[in-house]
Amino acid sequence: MKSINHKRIFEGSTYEDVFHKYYGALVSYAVRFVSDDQASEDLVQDVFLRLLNKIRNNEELNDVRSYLYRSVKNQCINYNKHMLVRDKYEADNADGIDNEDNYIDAAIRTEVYRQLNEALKKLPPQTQKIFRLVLDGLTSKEIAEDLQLSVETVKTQRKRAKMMLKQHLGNVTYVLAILFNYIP
Amino acid sequence: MKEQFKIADIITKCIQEKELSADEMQYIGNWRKQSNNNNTYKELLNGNGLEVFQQGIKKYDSNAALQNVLRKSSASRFNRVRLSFQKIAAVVIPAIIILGASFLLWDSTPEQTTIAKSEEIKPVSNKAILLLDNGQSVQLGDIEQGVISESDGTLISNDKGLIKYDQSNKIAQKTIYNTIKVPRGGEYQLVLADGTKVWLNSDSEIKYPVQFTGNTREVWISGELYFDVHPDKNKPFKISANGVGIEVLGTEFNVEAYKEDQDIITTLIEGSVKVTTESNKGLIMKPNDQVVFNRTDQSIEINQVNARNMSLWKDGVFYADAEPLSEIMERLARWYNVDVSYDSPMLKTKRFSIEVKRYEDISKVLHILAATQKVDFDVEGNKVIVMK
Repeated sequence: MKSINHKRIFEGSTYEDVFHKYYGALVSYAVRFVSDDQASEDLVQDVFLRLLNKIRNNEELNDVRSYLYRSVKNQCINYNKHMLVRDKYEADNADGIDNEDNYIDAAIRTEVYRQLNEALKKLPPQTQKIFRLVLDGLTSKEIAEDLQLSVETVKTQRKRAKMMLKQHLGNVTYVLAILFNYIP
Repeated sequence: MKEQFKIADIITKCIQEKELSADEMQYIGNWRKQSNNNNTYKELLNGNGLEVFQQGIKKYDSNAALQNVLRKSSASRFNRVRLSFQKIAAVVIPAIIILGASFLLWDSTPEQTTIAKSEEIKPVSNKAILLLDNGQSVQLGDIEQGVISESDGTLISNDKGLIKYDQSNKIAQKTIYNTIKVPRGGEYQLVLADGTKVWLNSDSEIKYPVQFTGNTREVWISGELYFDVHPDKNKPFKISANGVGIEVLGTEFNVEAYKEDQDIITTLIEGSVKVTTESNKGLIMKPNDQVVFNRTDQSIEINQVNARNMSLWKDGVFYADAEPLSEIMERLARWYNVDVSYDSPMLKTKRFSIEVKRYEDISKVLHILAATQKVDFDVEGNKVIVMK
């Protein structure tokens, strides 16, 4: 009775890694169609439970990302069908939502933000904090006052963020657009 | 599904200001021409949505969710395993009952089996070694009774298999440590200075401060121990067990962490504990949860068990629920201090359920197992040979 949670299963990631990388994003994807936080969390957890069983049974899985999004989509459609029986009004509503284009559009948006967010999570906390303030539209000077740092430090941090995102992650998130294009 | 992720990856690259291949440029160009896609593209590149996304996913706790999934998964697997045991149990359990009824007859005809002929192997007794801070060791046993004074003035009293530390009123100069080692075939009880009760099973040890002076109460263990921790919110109780950390929030639980075993098993009876390992920072256990940590592949498994059964040993009961014979014999070997060998390795995987008072002679336990007719034993001196 050994679990496989820590074995590397997908391109060097463990089941747990995949869980943490996709869970929040998939719930936010489901919420667009199901509009209920708890129900969305439940159905995404169900999908992950099935994934775990698949791995345990050594079933083939060539693209985990597609599998996850597709399964969540199917779960949402099933959930809404179930609601259809319970509530005619909501069903009419759900019918409009549940078209293929909406699911595709939502999957693209979710996946873009998820990837950016993963890249951002790897930045040091201080840099992330500065980044957030930049997002809020604060200038380097204002950020420096806010965090009680020198303007130079803030500017250095912005530069460091750029370096880190480019070199270490190989990812230049759109932080750059904001961090550098709008530097006052 | 594949196409939409190709699009997502290209857009992510655009936002990250990475260079696109000619193929990718053409692909995204075609895509943008279709229906409403260009609006999606512009909205994503504008970037405002990321903060909304981040705020949104904050609500969803992926750690709690993962625990939930693992719990559900192991609960369903546990049931499956038990189903396959039903056949075995159907044979073993009636056999034990029948045997229980015929025990008196067996006693009057001891020549019937090889086990009965052998000399009695001593049951568990209260014995342990106490290592003081200065390195001096003291033999503890049934008879010895008395009071020892540690270098910091703490009084340690020993009586009938129980050693007790008094809370000192003096402010300690420095923290000093004692260790209790219980050999194979022994058991002992300990009351720490804070009132926490500890039961030590055979072949187990614990290192602990004589007085808990710091902000936490920390002890180091190996083997199988049962804890009844004295609640103190201001001083969390921490246990280190061969690579697993257990942080106690006032509670009763059992830890099995023998150095030679692969698995470290924590079973929670009451209250709440947090288990930490190198790869898992903080798993909160609920009563009847059993966390099995495998030291080799660092995996963690959460099972739902009847936790009381897992700690029956401290009340002198030997208990096994459809366990492989190898595990049963390993525990018996520790408890009665015998060596076990097998005629055939096939025997190790046979499963048995048993519940028997442990202070009896080992041959009684072996009789019960032999009565199933699935296994037999030969006892020579300190050696037990498992046969078909």
